[in-house]
Amino acid sequence: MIGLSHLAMAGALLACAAGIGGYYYGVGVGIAQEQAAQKRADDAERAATDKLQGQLDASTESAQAVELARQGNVREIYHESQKVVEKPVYRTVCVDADGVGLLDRAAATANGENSGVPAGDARAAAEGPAD
Amino acid sequence: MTPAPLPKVQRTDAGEMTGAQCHGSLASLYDVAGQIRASYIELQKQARIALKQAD
Repeated sequence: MIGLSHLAMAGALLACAAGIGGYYYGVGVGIAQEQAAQKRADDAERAATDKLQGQLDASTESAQAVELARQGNVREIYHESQKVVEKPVYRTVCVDADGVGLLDRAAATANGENSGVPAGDARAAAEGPAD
Repeated sequence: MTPAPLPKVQRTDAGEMTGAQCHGSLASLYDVAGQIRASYIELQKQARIALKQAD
């Protein structure tokens, strides 16, 4: 026969099982909540990064348009200067070899050559705006 | 991107500069200076955007 002690034992076992079940259910809910919070944070960070990249891309695009316009103006000036320098006055020597040597030193200094500053790629004497 | 280096001035075979070469060299210098200035302005603009976003 089932005695009172058996009933008490069964009740205690049921209570234990319910407790364990509740514990694992709570852990599962906690993990889901944590994952949802992490996903929200990741989504917000991704949205902020995308927004920033969009702004930077728009800025780059606008700068490229400005640069194209500048290059167009430079080409125009170059073509006009070809006519201007045909005048006899432009055939006169205006800087002697010593002066040119100094200008070379000035260019080297400006380019950071021999001063520990990166100089970029080597550049020969300018022939026009395409250089 | 490394900024464009400044060009050397044009010269004759004797190492001198005529007025025409001087004019061309100055125009080239202004061209490179313009490139560098434009890059600098754009860099400042993008840095301001990034800093504003970080706030």
